[in-house]
Amino acid sequence: MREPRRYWVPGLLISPALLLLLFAFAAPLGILIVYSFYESRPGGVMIPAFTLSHYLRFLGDPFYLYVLWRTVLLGLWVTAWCIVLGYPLAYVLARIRSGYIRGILVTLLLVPLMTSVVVRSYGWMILLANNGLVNKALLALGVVQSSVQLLFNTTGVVIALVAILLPYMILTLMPVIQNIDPSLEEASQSLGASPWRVFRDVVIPLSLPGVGAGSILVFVLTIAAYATPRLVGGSRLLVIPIFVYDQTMALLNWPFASATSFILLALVLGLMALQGRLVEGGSTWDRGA
Amino acid sequence: MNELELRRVRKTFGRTVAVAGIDLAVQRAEFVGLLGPSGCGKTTTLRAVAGFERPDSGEVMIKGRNVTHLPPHRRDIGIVFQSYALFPHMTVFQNVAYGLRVRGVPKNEIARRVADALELVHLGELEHRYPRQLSGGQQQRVALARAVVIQPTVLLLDEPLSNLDAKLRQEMRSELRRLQRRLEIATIFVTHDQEEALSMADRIVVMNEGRVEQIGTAEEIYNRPRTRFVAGFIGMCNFLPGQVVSVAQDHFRFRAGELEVAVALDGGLPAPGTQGTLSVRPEVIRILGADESPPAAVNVVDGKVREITYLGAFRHYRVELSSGHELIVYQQGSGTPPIQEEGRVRVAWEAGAGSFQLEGAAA
Repeated sequence: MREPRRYWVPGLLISPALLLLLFAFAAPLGILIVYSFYESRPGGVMIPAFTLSHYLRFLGDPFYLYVLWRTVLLGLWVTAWCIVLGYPLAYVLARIRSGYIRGILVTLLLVPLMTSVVVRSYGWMILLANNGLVNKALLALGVVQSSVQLLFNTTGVVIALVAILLPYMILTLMPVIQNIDPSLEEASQSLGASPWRVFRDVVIPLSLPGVGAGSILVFVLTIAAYATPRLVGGSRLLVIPIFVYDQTMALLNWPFASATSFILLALVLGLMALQGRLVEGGSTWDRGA
Repeated sequence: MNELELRRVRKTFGRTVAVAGIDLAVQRAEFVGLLGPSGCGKTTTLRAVAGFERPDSGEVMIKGRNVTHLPPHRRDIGIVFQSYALFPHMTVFQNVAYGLRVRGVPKNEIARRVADALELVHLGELEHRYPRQLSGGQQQRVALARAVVIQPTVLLLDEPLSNLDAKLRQEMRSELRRLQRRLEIATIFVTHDQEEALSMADRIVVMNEGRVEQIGTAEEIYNRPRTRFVAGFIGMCNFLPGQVVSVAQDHFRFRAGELEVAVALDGGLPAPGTQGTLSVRPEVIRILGADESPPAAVNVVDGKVREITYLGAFRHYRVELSSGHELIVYQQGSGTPPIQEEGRVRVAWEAGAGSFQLEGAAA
């Protein structure tokens, strides 16, 4: 006789993670969404209500929308650079035959992640300053005639964020590329394709899902980044996380900060859905019969 | 002119010698099977022809042109991979059209040639499917169509049938053979399946440990194996190691322990004292009836039946000779067996039925 299936076993197994997510993530989110509809009075006073005024205020103000646009733009820049710089590295790592050497290189890749974000950002400030190492090197090599502004602007923040988020892109892409059967590349070659053609016709299309997943990760982490834009970007680079922080901590306008957060969240979810649509649309072959 | 020629091709990986300098020439329309156990160098040889492995030394010539240092995409070859390696993101049509597209063939000509190629493998109606939506046999046909549509000088097949089930494999064998005859492409296929090699190839190249053991037609390989390895790898064989005692006009006497038999050979006879192995196929040995008198020029030996295995079409006998040797004998399975287990028998084979391999010849 078959033993009755015990449905509570999987439930029990996932319950710790479920509880953690429920209390540390879902509940605060729920509280925030309620706050975002409250009325706010100067001095951090919130009055329970249901008003859309904070959402309307944000969406109706060109300055706030400009901040949102800057944030998205920063995310796009960092994502683009991570793809450009990360793809070749991920490809090389994926094609290394020795698992031992690959292991060492992947570990090296993770080293930057082991430093605190604040320490790292201060490090970048020293390197990117007008008389910092990067400018000195550029001057010494004759690449530039006078020092370049790399700190307290978008360029510096992009550099610092790409440096830290690159491993996420590479580690997402690498297994996808590894899973491409090398005989597909050989088949393409045998049919007359040059190495570049093989790459364009076989490797790139088959690794697109990995590019998509890596891009989402990097994009989300970028537009949620606070410490790096604050330190490396200085006071001139306003992005949504900094804006929300200031609203919360300096102006004590929690309902407006909550509403802003949800607008960003909605935007991210929208972009993810769009991206999912694009990747899925490009891979009908993946869905089987 | 040979469509393909290998001259002393040698390839090592670290300290392992994968291919130890092989020579091979393949003519137009010829179907050559590379046969051997895994690790014998057959796949490396194929990959050297394709250009995926660069030989340490030696030359690969395609239509008289030295292609040893050309990359795969400039070699004019078609390959069917063991895993088929169909592009999963392309339809059947796009897969087959790929080689033509890369070559810049005009669109309407691509459509025509792809349609012809798919017709050739009986897949015309599936051109809009993706590889995942096809059965193993269909994928194999697409891979074949994709390889031949570019009209390569040389077609390479890497264990093409090993991923198919037994029944389909039989069908594909004859279909592959028909197709190759019709297209008249010089073809090399790699297999570890002797039956596949015997049934399909015009010529078989038996390889072992990076060397060519023997090149010949299926019948030559089977009936006149030149080395003990070939005799043992293809089909079943009884081996009797010993030496030549005396040489007559058209045969020699051979002694293996207590056993002395006559051996007739087509070629030159070995000198007396030569060490070697006499190989006798189980099916050329006959079990004599009780009062049957054998014709002359036949070796007759006494023995005792140790075991009889009934296999339907055949009975396999394990016979222990009075000399202590053990022989496997295959007889027709029909009718009642002339003898029971533990019964005494006489077994016989013609002097010309065995083959002789010199000691020290590559084994």
